[in-house]
Amino acid sequence: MVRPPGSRRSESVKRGAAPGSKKRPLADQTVDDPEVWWRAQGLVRLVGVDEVGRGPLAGPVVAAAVILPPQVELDGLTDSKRLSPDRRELFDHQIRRQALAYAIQAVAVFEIDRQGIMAASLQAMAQAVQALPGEPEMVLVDGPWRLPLDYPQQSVVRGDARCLSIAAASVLAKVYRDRQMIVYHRRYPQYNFARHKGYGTAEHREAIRRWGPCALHRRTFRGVREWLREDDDL
Amino acid sequence: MTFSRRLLGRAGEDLATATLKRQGYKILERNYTTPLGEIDLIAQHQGTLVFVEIKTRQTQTFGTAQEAVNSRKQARLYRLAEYYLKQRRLSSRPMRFDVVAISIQGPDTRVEIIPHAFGG
Repeated sequence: MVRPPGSRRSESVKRGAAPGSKKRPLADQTVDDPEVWWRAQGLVRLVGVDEVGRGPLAGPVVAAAVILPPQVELDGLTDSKRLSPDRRELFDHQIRRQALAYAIQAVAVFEIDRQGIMAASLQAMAQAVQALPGEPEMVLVDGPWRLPLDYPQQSVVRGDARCLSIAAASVLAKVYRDRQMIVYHRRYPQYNFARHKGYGTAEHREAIRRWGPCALHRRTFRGVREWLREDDDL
Repeated sequence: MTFSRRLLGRAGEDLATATLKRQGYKILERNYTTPLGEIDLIAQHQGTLVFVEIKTRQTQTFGTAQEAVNSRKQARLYRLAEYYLKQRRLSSRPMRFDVVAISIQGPDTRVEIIPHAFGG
């Protein structure tokens, strides 16, 4: 049986390539890219999905799902974490213009505290896929996780650096979430969300200590919950 | 009735195993030992490999899953899971981490399964 890359058989290929190094040689990336493989099998409605905002102390977790056309011009697109904010904005624009379809979904702080961040981020990703028009033929999920969906799916570890459509999803989610945090900054300027986007920087932790948590803070997170007061009902 | 810590842990593991089986988990390993430490349970559920951490307590107070397993422990479990996947050559299989929280207080015992308790 022929297997897509990333499945058991191709692991030997992966293992053979520059063990320990994060960057694999270019030649190997196509072999190692499930997206390229599935496209070669004739699949078109191939969805990349990724999430952003699992770590921050405040704000929603945001996921995006993207279907790219077979011929797409996104040279230099990779994992959103490795792109500068300016380049992310540029790619965000280009992805929105070229994508066959995309959807962005946020899961609110309330849900993060209720179900835990892992379940909430899976929910965000599943919602993003479901918000797309039509049925996906294959869903490529960033990370070793499985989404609560009935569509065919493949987990792709470090997918945001391996598959173009997952990288595209990571950019859409990142840019959307950052913009959202800038909007929240106007409502709660004392934390400076516009700068750190809710992540636990020294500045942010100091602001929580000084002002206490606000309605956007994840109350179950360490770094926030220590500062809740008994009568806090945010 | 009070258990010693070891007996308590053991009773909790038995109870967790039985409960997970009833919920359709197929138990693959119990107390899987690696050079890096131990995984309480490894199971298969709905096509996903599940690494289970069992928390047994003799109190009523239940924290959240994040509280039950601190971030250092989460990171350790993730490394243990990676080790297991490598050993079994299962690297591409989707996985998740569940916590089974058990409170034993005399005859009043509660078992709570928390799927997707945390990620890597």
